[in-house]
Amino acid sequence: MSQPFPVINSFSLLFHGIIVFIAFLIRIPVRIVRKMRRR
Amino acid sequence: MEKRKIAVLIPAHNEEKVIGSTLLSLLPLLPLEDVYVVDDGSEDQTSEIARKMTPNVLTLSPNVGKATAMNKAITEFNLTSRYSYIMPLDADTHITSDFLSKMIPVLEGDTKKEIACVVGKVVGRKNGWVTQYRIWEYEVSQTIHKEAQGIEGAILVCPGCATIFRSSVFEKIKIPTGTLTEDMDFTFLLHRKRLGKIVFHPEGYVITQDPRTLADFIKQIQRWYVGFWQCVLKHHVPWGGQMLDVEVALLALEGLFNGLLMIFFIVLLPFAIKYHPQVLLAPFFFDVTFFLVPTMLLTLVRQKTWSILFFIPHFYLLRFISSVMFLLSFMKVVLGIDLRMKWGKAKRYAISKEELYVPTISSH
Repeated sequence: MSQPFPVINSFSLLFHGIIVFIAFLIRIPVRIVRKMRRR
Repeated sequence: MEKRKIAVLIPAHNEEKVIGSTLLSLLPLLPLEDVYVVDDGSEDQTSEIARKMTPNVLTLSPNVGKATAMNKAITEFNLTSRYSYIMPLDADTHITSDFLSKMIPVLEGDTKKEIACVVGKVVGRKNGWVTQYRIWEYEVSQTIHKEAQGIEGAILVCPGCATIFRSSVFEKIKIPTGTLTEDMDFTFLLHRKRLGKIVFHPEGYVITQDPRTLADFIKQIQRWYVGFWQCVLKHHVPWGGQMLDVEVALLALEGLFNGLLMIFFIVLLPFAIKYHPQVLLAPFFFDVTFFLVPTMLLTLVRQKTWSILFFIPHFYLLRFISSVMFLLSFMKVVLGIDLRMKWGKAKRYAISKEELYVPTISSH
């Protein structure tokens, strides 16, 4: 089983999209710091 | 005795059309002595085909169900004490060449053993308009929903074809019976027993076979959605006090709302067309602009499948069917109202040479 609910849900898509986007934003400075440390 | 690294366990019931190609696809990835097949009362040549490629075939007769068959195989082959990791694999699924090499380090890097399992991405094959829809659905649900669920610690399902478990998990719990979706049932149990983190790692992916006809598509989603509601009842969602409960409640409530909305829409459609056609245009425009087009773009960029754009009209039909089926499954399982729907297993198709995914890079 790979898809337990219909992907029509726009509110949950927005909700989950925001979480993924925030996580993406948080990872940007983390990546920069890691790169700087490597240098 | 030092444990071997990973065992692949394939439960099979009447899978003669696909079992050979699935085993063939595993050949470059790991020794076939680490591949185990449990034939759950097949009436076809599944066991015979599997035995030609691996000696580890357990044949059960009569049919006992997928979960029991897998539990029996784990015990019979003593997999938990012989292997560090166990990967269940559906007989119609091919794992890609670098799946194991990308997924296993996640578990090996977890020195505190906090991770119970690592979940990969599921990708569908293109075989017509129904599978095009599934490619889009998989991409949206995994890139957005599942990624977020991984962050929340509330992954709903560890697919029985794309997950590598720490073998110790199977020492603590058995794969549960009593629902149509044993992998979701098992995932809910992992959450409830707090057996460890579930990590989504989309860098590793598997290629699975999806229904090609509308009838098979309906059979499959009926089984999945009924299984979903069975798991909700069985694990007392949303009363468990975990993030899982919040996540399931959100998806279930919105799914039900959409199902009702669809029925309402169909009832009002003739009146709307006759008196106020603009009433239909506004939600359609909103949906296309803010939902369908962005998610389509996401899918075609990530999957590089431009052909998906030709199937937009079909997508509306399948989205409608999915929403109504979700509502009907709720009525059947939770309210006990069965509208005499037929429940069955989707048809399997032989894998053609062009479709056969045979990895070339060894990763063990």
